[in-house]
Amino acid sequence: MEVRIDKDTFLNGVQKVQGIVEAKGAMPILSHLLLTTEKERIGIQATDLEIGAKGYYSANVVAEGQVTLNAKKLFDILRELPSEEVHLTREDNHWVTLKCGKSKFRLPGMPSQDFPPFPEFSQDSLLEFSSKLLKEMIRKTFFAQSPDETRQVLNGLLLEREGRKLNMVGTDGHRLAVIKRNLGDAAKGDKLSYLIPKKALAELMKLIEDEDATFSFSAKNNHLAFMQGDQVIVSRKIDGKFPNYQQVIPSDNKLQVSVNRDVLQHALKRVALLADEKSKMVRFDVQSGNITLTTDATELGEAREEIPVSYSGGDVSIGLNAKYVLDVLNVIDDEEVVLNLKDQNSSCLITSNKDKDYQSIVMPMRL
Amino acid sequence: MDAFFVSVEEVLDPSLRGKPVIVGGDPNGRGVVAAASYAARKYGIHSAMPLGRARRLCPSAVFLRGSHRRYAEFSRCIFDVLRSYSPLVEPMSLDEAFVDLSGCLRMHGPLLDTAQQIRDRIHEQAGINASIGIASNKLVAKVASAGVKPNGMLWIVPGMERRFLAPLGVERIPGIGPKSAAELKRMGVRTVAQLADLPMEWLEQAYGRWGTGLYFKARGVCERLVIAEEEDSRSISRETTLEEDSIDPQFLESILSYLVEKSAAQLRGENLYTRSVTLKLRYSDFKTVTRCHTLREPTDDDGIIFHTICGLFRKLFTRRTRVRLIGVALSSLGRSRFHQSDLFATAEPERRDRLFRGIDRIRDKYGFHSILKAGSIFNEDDE
Repeated sequence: MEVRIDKDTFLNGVQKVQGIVEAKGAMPILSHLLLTTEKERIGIQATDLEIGAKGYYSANVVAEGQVTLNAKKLFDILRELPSEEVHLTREDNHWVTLKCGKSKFRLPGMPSQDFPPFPEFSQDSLLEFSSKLLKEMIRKTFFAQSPDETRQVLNGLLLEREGRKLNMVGTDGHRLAVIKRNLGDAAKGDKLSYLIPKKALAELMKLIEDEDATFSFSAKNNHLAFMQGDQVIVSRKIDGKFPNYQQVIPSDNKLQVSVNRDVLQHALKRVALLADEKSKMVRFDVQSGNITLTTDATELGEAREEIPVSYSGGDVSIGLNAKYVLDVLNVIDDEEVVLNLKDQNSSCLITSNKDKDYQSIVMPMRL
Repeated sequence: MDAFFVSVEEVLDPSLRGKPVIVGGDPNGRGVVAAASYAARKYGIHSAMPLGRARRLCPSAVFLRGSHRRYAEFSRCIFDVLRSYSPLVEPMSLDEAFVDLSGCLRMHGPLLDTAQQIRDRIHEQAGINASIGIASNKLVAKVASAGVKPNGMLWIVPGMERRFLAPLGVERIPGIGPKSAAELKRMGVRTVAQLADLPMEWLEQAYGRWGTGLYFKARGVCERLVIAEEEDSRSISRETTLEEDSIDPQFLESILSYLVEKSAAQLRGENLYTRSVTLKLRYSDFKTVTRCHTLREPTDDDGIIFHTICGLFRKLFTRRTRVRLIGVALSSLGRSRFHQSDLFATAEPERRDRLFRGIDRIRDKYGFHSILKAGSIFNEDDE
């Protein structure tokens, strides 16, 4: 195998998949990338056995073949190389020589036939969406998924098609974010519902660079695939039943408190500095015209801040995890947000008047 | 306290006085000696010795199961006495504590009188003999008290620390266990004086930081302060040596279920919540492993703790080796609980609270074993 490839193209390709690679694992080959040639292209592939990603980049293929290389080392080398042509040749015993300008590297590869085969995936697109849409939907729900690895169905996002709507939902059991978007008139077909693991989503976000590009989504057996041009990311889907999220979206939270997002965000950040480290609980006392945010009775001290709101209902108090609320405020684009409350034991629904199709729910903490 | 567990038993049953008494698990089982009376010690019996061996050494000894609850009661009574003399009381175990009397003497009078008063009051309140070592620091006080047991009192006048320690064997220094003592002896270091002759660089090179510590200890220098117990920083733990080593995961989980019930009940009894759950396993080859899991929020709920412990157990119990000892520890204890409500929870948390309050009331009235989970198995020894 012998290939000449533009360094920046190569670096970009490696960068997109190297996040998947396991630096330390039981199988050393999983810390490697598989490089293959195909006509005038070079394929770069990585997998951790759960997720696989592959991309093709144009290159001058002098001799066909394939090699594996340690992903981290290759990435670090490419990053430091000058922007010139990289000349990659395979030697005997799987060693690989990289030349660029006056630099020369020899790296030990591993037998490419030992590299795990790329998971089978379907080319038949079930859904198509723009990069921009996909990115927005992931960004606005990603934070709500659970870090708790014992709750596997919550370690990812639900992707669902219902009529012409595409829904994405994340929850960790204490909060939930749901976004609905129109798929356009071309959308058709039955209801679809898949659980996508968080690592696949994180890697997918890295692949998205051109906002106008179109991603297609397919599913085959246990594997989900996102395809865009010459790139594909395949992931095992999460098995199991996502909780019935529709049922927990409150419909009778009549106390609507409208507040400037930026003002609330900063006040909450300040008050949360003195919140209990573990619970991050901040007390929201809502009166007509203002909210008082307080944290008290912790060893750290106490904080209190009053912010103006547009609200004219009765008094209500609720304890909320400041981090959960801040995560939501972070991704809402509108200047105003609405806190929809019922009482101190019921969930707080956070919405924006400009985007009725994005809803976040935060469960209260007992005061 | 002197032979604390045994002393408590003697107070409760005076006919035991003077007899060789051994507190431990089932004498026919495989536990170890928790405490031995001075009469029993004459037969060469000491704590941590397997019960079988103690029995062979002194077949006529009185073997008692012991009850942690009784000892804890006596201990509380003794600590109340200590705390009435100084707010700075640092418990080392149920029957051992450091008391910082500096600055308190204007109130209590001369040092030796005060110490004698403390001993008298402990005897009065609990009927137990205490030995006291008095010194300018914790290290020397500890060595002094160990040296005057039973029922003694020793004051090492400030300035005499090094001279007091010099003739003693190195194993008398806290922190030098049998292994290190043997190693030091191999190099000809038998007494503290000989240890004090070694240059600091030498000790540091040979033992690192521990070596530097030895250099100061040998000179009777110790700058650690007496730190009053912070109540919430403790942990609650329960462990049991099985009657017979077991490899049966179901059986082991049943034991865990019982241990969790016990520890959670104590947790609720003290109005505490735990955030950290630890599992301990000792295999038949004495290899001991522990695993810890931090919960998302504090709890005192048997169910949550048991679920966590089982998760740890299933991950940890992978060696195909029999288990000898199994234990549960709850730490990161605190009084405050925040409760994050759950989106998809069906049961109200208040109901669970009410359930456990009910169970605890039943146990208060009819004893712990009056109500147990069906899945819990307990060793007879544990009560």
